[in-house]
Amino acid sequence: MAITQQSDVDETLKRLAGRKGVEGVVILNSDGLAIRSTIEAELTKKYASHVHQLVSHSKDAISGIDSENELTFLRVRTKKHELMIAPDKEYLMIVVQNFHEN
Amino acid sequence: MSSSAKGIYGDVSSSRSKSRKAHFSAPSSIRRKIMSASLSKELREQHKFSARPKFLPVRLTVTICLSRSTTLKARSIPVRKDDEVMVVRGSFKGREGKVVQVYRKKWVIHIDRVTREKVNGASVPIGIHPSNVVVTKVKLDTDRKAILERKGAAKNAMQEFFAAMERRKEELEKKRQKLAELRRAREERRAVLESQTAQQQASPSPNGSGGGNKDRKAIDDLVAMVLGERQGSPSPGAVSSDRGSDTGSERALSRPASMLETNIVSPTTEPKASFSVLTTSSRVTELSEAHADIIDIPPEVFIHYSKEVQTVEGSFDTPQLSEEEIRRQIMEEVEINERQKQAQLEDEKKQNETAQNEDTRDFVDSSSKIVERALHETYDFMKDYTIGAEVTSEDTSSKRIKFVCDFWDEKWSKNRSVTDVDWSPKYPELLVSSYNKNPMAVNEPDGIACVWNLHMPERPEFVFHSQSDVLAVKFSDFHPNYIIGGTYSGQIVLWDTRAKSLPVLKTPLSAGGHTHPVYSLQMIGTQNAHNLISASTDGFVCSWQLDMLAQPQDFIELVHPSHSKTDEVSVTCSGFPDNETTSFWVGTEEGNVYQANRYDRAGSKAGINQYDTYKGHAGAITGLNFHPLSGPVDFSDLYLTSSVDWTVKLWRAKSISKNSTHPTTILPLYSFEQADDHVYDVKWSPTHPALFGAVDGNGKFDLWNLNTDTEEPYVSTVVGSGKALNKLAWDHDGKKTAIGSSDGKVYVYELGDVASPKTEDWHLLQKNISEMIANQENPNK
Repeated sequence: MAITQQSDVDETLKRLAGRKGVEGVVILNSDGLAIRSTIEAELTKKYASHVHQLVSHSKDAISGIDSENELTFLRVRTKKHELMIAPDKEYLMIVVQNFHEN
Repeated sequence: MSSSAKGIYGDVSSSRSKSRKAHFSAPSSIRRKIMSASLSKELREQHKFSARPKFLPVRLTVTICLSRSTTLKARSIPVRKDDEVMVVRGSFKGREGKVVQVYRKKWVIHIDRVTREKVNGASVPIGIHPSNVVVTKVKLDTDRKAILERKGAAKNAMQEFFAAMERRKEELEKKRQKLAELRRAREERRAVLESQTAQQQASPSPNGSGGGNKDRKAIDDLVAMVLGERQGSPSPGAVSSDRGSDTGSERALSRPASMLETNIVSPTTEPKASFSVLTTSSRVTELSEAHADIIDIPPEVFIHYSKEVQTVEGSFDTPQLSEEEIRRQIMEEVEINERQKQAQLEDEKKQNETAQNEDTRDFVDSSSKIVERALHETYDFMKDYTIGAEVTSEDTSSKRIKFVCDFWDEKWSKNRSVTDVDWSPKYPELLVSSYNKNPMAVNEPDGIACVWNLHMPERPEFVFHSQSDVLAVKFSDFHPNYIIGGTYSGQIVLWDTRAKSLPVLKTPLSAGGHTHPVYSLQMIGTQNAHNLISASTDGFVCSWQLDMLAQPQDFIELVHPSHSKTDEVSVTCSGFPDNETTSFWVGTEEGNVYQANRYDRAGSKAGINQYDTYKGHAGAITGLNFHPLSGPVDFSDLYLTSSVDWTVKLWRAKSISKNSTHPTTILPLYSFEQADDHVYDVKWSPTHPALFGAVDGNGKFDLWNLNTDTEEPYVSTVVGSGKALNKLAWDHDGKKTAIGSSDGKVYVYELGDVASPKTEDWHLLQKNISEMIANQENPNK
């Protein structure tokens, strides 16, 4: 059972990473450690540390504005990429998209 | 609760009768409090009480308490109207809705949409006790905010109280320790004093007080040393301090023992000695002999000792361990402890990992869906139009319908055929498709239904399971979360997108429901009173209420006595004219169409209308669709049928009010005979009056426009691989069609300009239809 679940997750990630324009997918746990990644280790580490901080700041900012509000999704447009960040209680998904290819 | 000393009813009694009386005769103001509902977990987190500055100094101790009971927040609140609640107990478990009314007199709350239908069609709310619900959204006004804050504060005060208790307990403990120490010190002092006298008694110095003084000085030194050692021994680790006190008390206590012995022994030899305790100045020399080294430690001393200091057993056996050895031992112990702890942690980690797997999967599943939808957005909202872009010639050829996407999933669609498709009435991007059995995968459910999202063609949004092939599927028109399926076994299943993949409700497989395949599902009625009408191939037509599928609300059996062998009417499809809820038309396996009534009405009985026969098809009817009511001219008596005799026919339904009294045969208005295979489905466009689509066994999708041409389809497209197409569904704007194919794919086409009606289309159609009627009446003309 556990094996099929594992492969389920991997398959989803693979498909997501294989989409046009997607450069990589990283999943972090609540401590900001990368548990899955489709990009090289060095870059993963960078994304992990910086995005984790970014998300926690964003969460604070949102709950600071309205305590009943909550961050659900984060899109960051940059000159080169777009980051799509889906935060959750336990995990965090980062998808790096190169929108120029679209 | 109102105060800690008094209950909500005033003085507290535990008498059953008094309690019950107080409860049931409680006035409304008290009922308000009793009718509290617990807050959902999320809300509890939200309405956590934030510590005010006055509590700040003691926050540290409070945090210690927090680990014991993690609540520092309101857990419940008196329910009021407009709160949003979820039912967590009873047969309505899982339902969410707004509180419509708090009926204090009846002890219940009424929740939006938690209702049942009365026989006359009116809906009545079902009362639910507030203890069976959790509040998911509090209607926040200042008063309620105050309640939550106050409750949080009360909780906080309670925490405060516990913290204070804890602190007091600690202080008491400290005091007790101090007391014990004092007591021990006193005992030691006494012991030293006694040993002093014993020493003096036993001192071998033969003469004078000078020698005695010297001795005393030595003893004083000894005492000082002993005491010093006690006080000086630092106690960083419990073991070392224990050891220190060991040796100290041992030394101190061994002396009174010997002294005691002296006292016991001495009277036999020297009576004077018995006073030796009292007289401290002069000693008798003979007594030194009486004091012997051979004395054993008497048992009482042992007991005394073991009571006084609690040590590890081993410390008695190896009291002379060198400091280094002790240190080593401690280190070893610490190391072992550490190792155990690590092993434990690793175990926990492993356990967590398995638990996390599930979590991870859920998370990846949901968040990847979001991302995929976001990725599907093709418009770049950051586009800078000031920058010149290379001009790409858009293919704006005369292609009048555009392929949008197809839905296919390797796991779920393979080896299956699409049996039905339906668009969501609420979300224009969602559609559901049902599938039959996959003969290659025995372990997978026979029937499935998939909900697809136009923004995420790669995989289904939801997959629903059924034990039997799903033949018809439909979104509930009035609950966007419900999906209804008709199965081959005759069961009607109800799935909820908020629940898991298994049906939340299903009809029983018994004579109470259908026992033959259900190909036809219709929803009729309004938001507040609606029914599901299902028809199976044995001629049973049942009407159901969606929240009670245990048995049909009513059913009729369609029979036709004029049939030669069996009077059964095998229904393959059915249709209600728009705005009609009691009278419907059914298409049958032998090719005729009949009109039927759900209820008895003036001049006609419930069941099939035996006189009117719509005869025209030579084979089983596969689709029946009434003209949608959507324009200035009423065409709601027109309907289309498709059949395996390769034709589509247009009919005009006879008015229900004009009953026939003798058998009449009604012929079709027109027959569309362009297809060269079975025609499997036909549907009117929901917006364009003269437009309809048909799909056939050759994989062709034909769009007919009655205003332009009735001989040739307006547009004809070969869909996909040319496999037979089973079903067709228009979306609600009439801009897109979804086509279910027997190769397991659902194709979506966009129609563009073709589908948008012009104002003259209505009157043009009216003219065309009256021409057709005229032709039918005078075929020779």
